[in-house]
Amino acid sequence: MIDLTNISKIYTSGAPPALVDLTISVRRGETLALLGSSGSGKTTALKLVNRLVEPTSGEVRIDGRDVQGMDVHALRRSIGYVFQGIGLFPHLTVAENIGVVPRLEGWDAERTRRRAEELLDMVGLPPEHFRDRYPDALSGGQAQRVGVARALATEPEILLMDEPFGALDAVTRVRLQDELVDLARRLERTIVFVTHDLIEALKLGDRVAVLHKGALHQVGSGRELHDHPATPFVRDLLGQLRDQIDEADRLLGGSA
Amino acid sequence: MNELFTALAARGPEVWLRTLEHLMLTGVSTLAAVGLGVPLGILVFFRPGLRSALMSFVGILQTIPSLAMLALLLVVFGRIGVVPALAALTLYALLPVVRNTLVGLEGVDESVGEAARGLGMTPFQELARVRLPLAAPVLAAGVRTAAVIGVGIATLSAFIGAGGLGQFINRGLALSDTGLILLGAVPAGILALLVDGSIAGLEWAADARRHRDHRGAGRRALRTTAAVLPCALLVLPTAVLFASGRSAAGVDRVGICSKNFTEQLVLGELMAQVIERRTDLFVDRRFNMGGTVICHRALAAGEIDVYPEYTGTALTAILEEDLPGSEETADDVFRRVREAYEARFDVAWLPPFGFDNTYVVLAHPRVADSLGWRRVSDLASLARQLSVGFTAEFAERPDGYPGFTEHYGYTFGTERDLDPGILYRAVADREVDVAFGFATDGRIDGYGLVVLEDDLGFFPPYQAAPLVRMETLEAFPELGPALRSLEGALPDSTMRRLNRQADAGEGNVASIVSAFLDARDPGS
Repeated sequence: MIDLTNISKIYTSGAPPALVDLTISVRRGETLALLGSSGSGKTTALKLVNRLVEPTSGEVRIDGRDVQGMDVHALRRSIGYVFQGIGLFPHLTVAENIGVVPRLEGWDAERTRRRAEELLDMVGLPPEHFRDRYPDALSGGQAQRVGVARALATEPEILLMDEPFGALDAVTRVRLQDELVDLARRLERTIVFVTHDLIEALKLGDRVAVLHKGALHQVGSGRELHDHPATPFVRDLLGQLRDQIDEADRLLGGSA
Repeated sequence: MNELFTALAARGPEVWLRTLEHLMLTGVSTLAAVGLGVPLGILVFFRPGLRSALMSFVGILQTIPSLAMLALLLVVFGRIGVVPALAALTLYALLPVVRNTLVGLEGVDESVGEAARGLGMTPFQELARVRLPLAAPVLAAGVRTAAVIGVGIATLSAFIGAGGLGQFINRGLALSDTGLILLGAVPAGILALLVDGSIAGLEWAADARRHRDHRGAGRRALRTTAAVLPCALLVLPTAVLFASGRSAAGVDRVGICSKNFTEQLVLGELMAQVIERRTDLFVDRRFNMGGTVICHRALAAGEIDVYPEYTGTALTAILEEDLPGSEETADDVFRRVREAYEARFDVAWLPPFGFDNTYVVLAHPRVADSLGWRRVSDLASLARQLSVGFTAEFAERPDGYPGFTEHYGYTFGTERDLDPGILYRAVADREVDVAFGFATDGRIDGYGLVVLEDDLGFFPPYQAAPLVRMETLEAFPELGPALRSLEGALPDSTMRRLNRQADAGEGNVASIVSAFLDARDPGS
């Protein structure tokens, strides 16, 4: 569905490239996790899809069509986008925030309103309580749910999420992760999301792409990554997970 | 404060007119600054390369002293009145508007900007739907600053004849009339507070995020009022002024201008009072203008109708003709300027007031007595031993010291440039032996100085007379006879006495002039 081919990205000439010769395909309906630490190029890879970042070389295709040939604003409106900063518009109500893209697409007020209420229900925020609130009257978790609802407003085929749960506390994060797994299964959308958290990647991703210093090390299910690491980096990464579990057992005075 | 209420009672309708004018000046210039400044702010936001150049330009504009700016625009537009004043006020209001637009647009949280882009808004949609609404409170604060600055600076536009409350202050300063000063200053202060308060309301209403707190109908009405009030305060006066046509030359209104020194103020007030006593015309006093050229341009452009001028000044400064030869009499010169003005400017010289404010040679009475000085030629034999004082201007003018030495054939031993303020006193204190002063300066009598006769006829005549636009004379037939009644009313000695009274602060100019007219014409 989404094909990134031989992508390189250099932000400032002379500096190390953010991405080097990245080729990766996202299958229709799957959830792909882009996993890496900061500077790995994972966010750059995500933003290539809706052209918030333009590649220095290589091409991005959606359903076989080169995104360079598309109207950039229409492209972005056709793709859902959620990110860590959430970026709800503070001067608009929750319902108005969710209705932004529908309005840009020319929906009438009534259809937009109904859609917003439907989405609020779907993300677990009772419309009658949340519809007319302003973003600064929401908790972090509520705001992120509104952010997800806003991204889904026009039923985009593709949903991009840039560290969507990064700013949330641990309890809220786990709950929203569970909800997203559930949502993704029900909606059958193609989801690409960025995370630096291995557990989150394994939990949400049908497949995980491991990026490090601008290079793609391996793409595969958690099981594949664990059993057949393609590079020492991937092996160490998965190994750390085992170490952490042992450490947790020891701290809790378990069997070890 | 009593003076204020007396002045207010006497001039209620004019206070209303000036207040409207003041609000019009402030309102139009503020709106113009918004119309110009918001797009400029947006431009700079999208083109950061322009930022430092544009911001320092509007910054520099605001550091230009107000009077210098007004004078500058006077030259640029070549006319006095509302247009240059509005231009000056707009330029001053520009900085806070541009700066706050930019700061407001930039102050929008980066995550909000990224969301707008990520959701597929075009740059224009991002600006119109996200950044401008979020910047609105900051923008409104800039408008507020601009409007309050405007109310303050608008008081100065009276100096270039744009009206407003500053006209009372200006006239009050010129006539040493505290009541008049307060009549301008107090309402201007109140206006500043009102404008500030009402735009604070606009700011409050502009903050879209407050909407959630006020869902009740009452609160909504309050919000609407807060938004409408400043508009009403600033826009309505403009409409009223234009509708009533007061900003244009009114049908029954005579505008009188004067330059910025004592004698001109006395003459201006004198003409104003004579017109008020003898006709039903409304006199619009625009005194204390910045000089000959400003008054002349205002007259030629029809912005004022009357002002007092001197034949010698008209000849050299306006007509730019050569100095009269010694064979030309004062009447010859008068005829020359009268004919030239009628032909070139459609302006009439009415009969002169009777005095001739030319340069004179002054001496201390005891010195003059003991040495037997009567005439300027009497000084020739002793000149090398004498010291002389004159103004810096006199030292350079062709009808001043250079011409004098050539004409009389002698120079003085010691020459000192002195400020007009101390020139007369310098003779009285015998710091200099003789001085060149103005014939009708009140201080000649004040210090009891002796005027020596210009026996070789060097100094050109500076007869003063009312200048009136022909059109005005035709429109108001009663105006000509009223001003002609002043023909010959002010010989040198009388003009000197009135000037001395005004300089010494023996009552304000209006009351001095009024007393003079009462004494002269007890019947009226």
